[in-house]
Amino acid sequence: MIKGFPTRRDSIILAAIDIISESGVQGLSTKKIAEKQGISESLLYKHFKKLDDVLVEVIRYFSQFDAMIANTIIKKDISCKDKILEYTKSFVELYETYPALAAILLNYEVLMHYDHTRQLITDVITNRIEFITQAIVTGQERGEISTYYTPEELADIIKGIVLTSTFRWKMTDYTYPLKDGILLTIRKVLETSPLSRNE
Amino acid sequence: MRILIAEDDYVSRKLLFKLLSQYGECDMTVDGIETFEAFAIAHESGTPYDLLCLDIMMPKIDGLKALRAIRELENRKKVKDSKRCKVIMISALNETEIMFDSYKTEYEVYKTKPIDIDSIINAMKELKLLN
Repeated sequence: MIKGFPTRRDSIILAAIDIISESGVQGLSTKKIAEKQGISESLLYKHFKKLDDVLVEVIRYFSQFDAMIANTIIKKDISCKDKILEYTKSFVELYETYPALAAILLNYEVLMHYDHTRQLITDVITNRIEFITQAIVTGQERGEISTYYTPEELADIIKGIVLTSTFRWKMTDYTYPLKDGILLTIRKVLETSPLSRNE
Repeated sequence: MRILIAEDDYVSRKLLFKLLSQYGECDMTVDGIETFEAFAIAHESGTPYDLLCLDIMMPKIDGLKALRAIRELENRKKVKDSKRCKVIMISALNETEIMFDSYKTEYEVYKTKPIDIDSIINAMKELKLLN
């Protein structure tokens, strides 16, 4: 690693992500981060006053592209179904190339139990689900997506596919590509749902 | 021409490699840390890259941070403007969504994914790497 890059602050965040991936959020400590970085805990405290501050930055790192991805896809002239697929693909691609990052998604329930991270992780997850829900609402209005499920139900199904597929991928130590399977399953759900509740 | 392809997506990386190999010797990296390391090592060994194809959404350290570090290294080394590495930034994100700051110079052009061979060739022409 070249001296000065990444910055010490970024290196601490990356080390924290690795530890969360290996040991869960409960396994994260300033001692472990310092050990992984080969620095003293006092040097770590120069960059972050407490462990909670590291966790906050980990979530910000995890969601750093969220708004840009959403705004980019909103402006695309594609079907609502494709917007949902492209939106999901953007995140899954990040996990596929950086598997440790997927651990933050899989630990989000735990992060809700920490005062400093509760609101932040809730906002991240809520915004992601809201994007998909809105795309479903518009897709149903345009007749592109079946109305058999309510937008909330369908968004929950998609969220469930991403979570369980990512969890299974992690359990098998990332031995197969994640993206293709998730996108294929979501496409099937979007394309094969019964036409409408009334039919 | 010495070319560094910094791209985490396998398909895009292979496509860029196939295309750019016609124009020079290509190396490949898959995240921002590797990219800066490769750039710094090439500089130290006196064989700097002429062109960097840089993905923005890369694992660990993103392309923008890597680019900022690269420009800072060139500044520290007092690299002449004409000798600065030319950069084609590539991303699925709209250019308008990306928070460029003062490090964006005339030595970078931006192209949106999916990668299109013509747009890469045009970018190289814009950067005066091709006639």
